[in-house]
Amino acid sequence: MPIFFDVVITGIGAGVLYGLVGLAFVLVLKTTNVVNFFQGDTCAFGAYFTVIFATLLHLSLPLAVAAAIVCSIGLTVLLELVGLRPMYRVSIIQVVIGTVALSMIMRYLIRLCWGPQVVPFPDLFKDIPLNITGVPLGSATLWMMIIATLSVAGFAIFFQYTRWGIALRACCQDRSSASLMGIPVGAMMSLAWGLSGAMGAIVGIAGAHMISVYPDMGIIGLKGFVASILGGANSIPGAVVGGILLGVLENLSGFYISFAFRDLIAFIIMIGVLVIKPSGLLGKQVVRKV
Amino acid sequence: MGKPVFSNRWKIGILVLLGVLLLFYPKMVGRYWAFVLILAGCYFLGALGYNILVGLAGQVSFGQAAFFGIGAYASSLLMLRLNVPAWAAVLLAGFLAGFIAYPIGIPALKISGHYLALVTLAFSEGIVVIFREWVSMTEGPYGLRVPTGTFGPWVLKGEPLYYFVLVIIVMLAITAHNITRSRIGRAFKAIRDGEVAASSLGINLMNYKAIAFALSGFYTGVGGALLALATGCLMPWDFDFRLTVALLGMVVVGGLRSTILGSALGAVLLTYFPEWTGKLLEVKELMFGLLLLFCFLFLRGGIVGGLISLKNKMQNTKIGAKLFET
Repeated sequence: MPIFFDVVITGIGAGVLYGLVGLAFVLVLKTTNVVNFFQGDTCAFGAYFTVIFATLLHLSLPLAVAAAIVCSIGLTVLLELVGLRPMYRVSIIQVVIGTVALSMIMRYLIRLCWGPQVVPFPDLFKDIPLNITGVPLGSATLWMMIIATLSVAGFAIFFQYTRWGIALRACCQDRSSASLMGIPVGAMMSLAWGLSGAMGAIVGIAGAHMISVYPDMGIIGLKGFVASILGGANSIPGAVVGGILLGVLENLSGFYISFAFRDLIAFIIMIGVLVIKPSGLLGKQVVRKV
Repeated sequence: MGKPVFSNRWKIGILVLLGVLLLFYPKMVGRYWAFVLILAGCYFLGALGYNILVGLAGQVSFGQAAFFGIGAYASSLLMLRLNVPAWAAVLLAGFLAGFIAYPIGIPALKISGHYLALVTLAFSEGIVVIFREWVSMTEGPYGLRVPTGTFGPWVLKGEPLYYFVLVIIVMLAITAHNITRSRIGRAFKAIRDGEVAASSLGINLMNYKAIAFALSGFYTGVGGALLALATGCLMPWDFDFRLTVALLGMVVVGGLRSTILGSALGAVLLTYFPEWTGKLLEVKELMFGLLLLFCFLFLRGGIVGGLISLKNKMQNTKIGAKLFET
């Protein structure tokens, strides 16, 4: 039996990451109604910026990480403003395809600068070992879980209690009413994209040892989509719950059924949820009025 | 009013000229460029299938690569394991892809837009996993060698393959042309322009969405089967999301609203593009992304859309009125 718990706990470790990516994805979907296909690539922004600052510019690690997160936020906001914002009024599907195009461009640029291979990433948690007896995870993975959980909590507090967070949620609910209440919707969109960039960067940095740093590391974005769909694509806590659930299910099926078809299981879960209960586990049913 | 210069007679003339050109194309340019045109033709079928779904019926799909892959693997396996003749294998593979695509249209009734995009994307990535891991059937990452097909006395290689592909493409394009003008095509357009209005006019949404997926799957599957014949080797990752993006690029660059002409222009342009740029082959992906963004920001209807709006503008001038009046 203990091996079962080991598998579950490792699954939760991956699941928190998926949940954080899913959270970013839900945030953008709710404020701007866009499925952001370069969400996963924001993780790559974070990781590669850290590599730039830490290995090339020799900044101290905390400073490098902070600078990397700021740069990823800036880059995400900039990309949205230049590449996507002009298209919002035309057709949302075109915006979605636009995010695919941006993702391709960014991946190409990363490959151009660093090549396709895995880049060595500085060991962030070397000096601060953490070991809980009986838990089969390395200290890096434990730190990753702690950081991811703390950031989820931080974002939750931001949404619940700060003025900006409440304004953002108002935009999520109804963009036009929010603008009638005097909320600057355009700025809120940028805020949502910026936050999604920050979340992506945190995932990319904290999870670098798990997903490894290479140009296509944005593939983790797909898992984030599945997580958010599983939890309900219009529910912010749902994304986190869905992510953890996905991580655990994936790990269990990888261990007990077949490792090779592990990824397939994530996709089958997603299709199943969308067909049976499109609103997800925690999502609200949206009633369509004619 | 004088006789318009670009009348129907002109259109027929251009078509005949194009036909003659295509007929003698391999004689004029040699094997390599004929091969490139074969590839463009296969992608054209894929783009056409995509355009039927997205441009005509207004359903979003990010799973087109899966149908392409199913067509390619199915036809190759039929030829390899069951010794089915090439033409039958291509057709059967198309039907199989259509058959698999059909049920995807059914959840499309419940979910639309983004979620449909995600379901189809998940489906497509799942299919790639199957291609990769079902080694006993598909050879997985070792690559599946496609046998050279025959058609009667001809071995389908080089020139005979060119004409084989050409005939199939012309037949399918004519069929597509007729479908867009049939009851089904009009139903698709009605669904695209407004689902509620369409269903209140008595269009069975579920049925027609499923038909749209099946048709799209069929065209794309045939494209994949022909591609397998042309390239001779299949790798699972040839059919991942990048292929979907490439097909999408062709549709968008050619023009979403122009099913056949747009898909053809997009496919030919984007297949030849990396060939012309030669040394720039490495920046293909970058160019693709930039081209997509450019089309969205500045040329929303694609090339065909741009030409049509140009024509509309010209009609307002004196010379233009003479040229285009019908």
